[in-house]
Amino acid sequence: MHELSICQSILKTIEVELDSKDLANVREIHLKVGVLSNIDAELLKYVFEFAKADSSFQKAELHVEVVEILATCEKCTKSFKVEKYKFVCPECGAPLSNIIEGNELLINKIILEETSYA
Amino acid sequence: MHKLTNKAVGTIQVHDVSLNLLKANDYIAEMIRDEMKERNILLLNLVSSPGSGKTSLLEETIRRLKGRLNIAVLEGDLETERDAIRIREQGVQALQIVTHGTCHLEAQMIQQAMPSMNFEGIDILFIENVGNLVCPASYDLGEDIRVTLVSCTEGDDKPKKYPSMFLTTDVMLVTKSDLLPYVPFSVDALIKDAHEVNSHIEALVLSSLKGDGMDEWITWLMEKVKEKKEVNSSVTTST
Repeated sequence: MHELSICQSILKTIEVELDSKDLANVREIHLKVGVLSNIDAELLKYVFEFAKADSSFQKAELHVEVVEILATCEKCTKSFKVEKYKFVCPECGAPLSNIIEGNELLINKIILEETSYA
Repeated sequence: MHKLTNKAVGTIQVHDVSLNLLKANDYIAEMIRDEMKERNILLLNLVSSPGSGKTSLLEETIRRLKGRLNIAVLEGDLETERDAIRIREQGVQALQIVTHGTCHLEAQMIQQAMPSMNFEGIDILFIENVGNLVCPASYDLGEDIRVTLVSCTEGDDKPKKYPSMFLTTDVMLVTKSDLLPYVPFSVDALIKDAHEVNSHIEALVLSSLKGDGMDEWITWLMEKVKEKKEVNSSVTTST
């Protein structure tokens, strides 16, 4: 529900990360979005088109990889994919309390293309 | 001499990064946590669906703690100052944060509001978040304890429907318990589902209106204030 604030955060984060002269060359922004981050990937891409309009990132395209939930059992320390939000170890029944993946909301790759003329 | 052609040759650069999009929020949340620690104030973030009784719980909590603990409240709402007015009528400091449509509070909003508060002698700061079981889950506000309210009129299926909120919940309050005889709501089913999502959730059942369970809540709260002050004083003496 707060996809627009996330889009603004994407643009701000990249502005801090890259040299200002490179901003217009950003072609692809790759995100990793965990299921637990409450972000709808399709809506995010849609909203990004509006967010980038007033920015230096006119040519940037957003790519979103959705990350499933992976958690470790408190007792037997094995890791399992969490389905239907049941954070219970399928083998020993103890809580799957250590979430390894599924919470992330991050930029993991930025692709730039600098156009030169041969 | 340069030969002009219209043939563009692109140089591709790939930056592999790991940039957390909530980093700015989390950084400010840590600053708030540090300040509250220094001031010896217990910070609670109250979250729930709209209408589950956050403000009523605060009113009754303030009434019961009068003369025992000093409370201040930050109220978050999309519009209006109604909640802050209700809290001020109880004789405590309350500041309204109007988000103008934003569906959650962010750490920066809390940080901006803090200089307008007088924290002298305050033991507990309550933040009443925007009524929403989705978005506030992702935003750390620097709180010590996240309190999630589930009113029995909402239904007992909330933990599985809004798992990310229950994953970050420390204590779950089942509110409006005086209505339990009239609604198809199972406290046991709710707690079982909540524990499947997060086995560490503590649960209390109460009614702000009729007072059932309020003594346990007040005792629990006073214990948490005491624990925080003890941790702080032991840290101070050891350094």
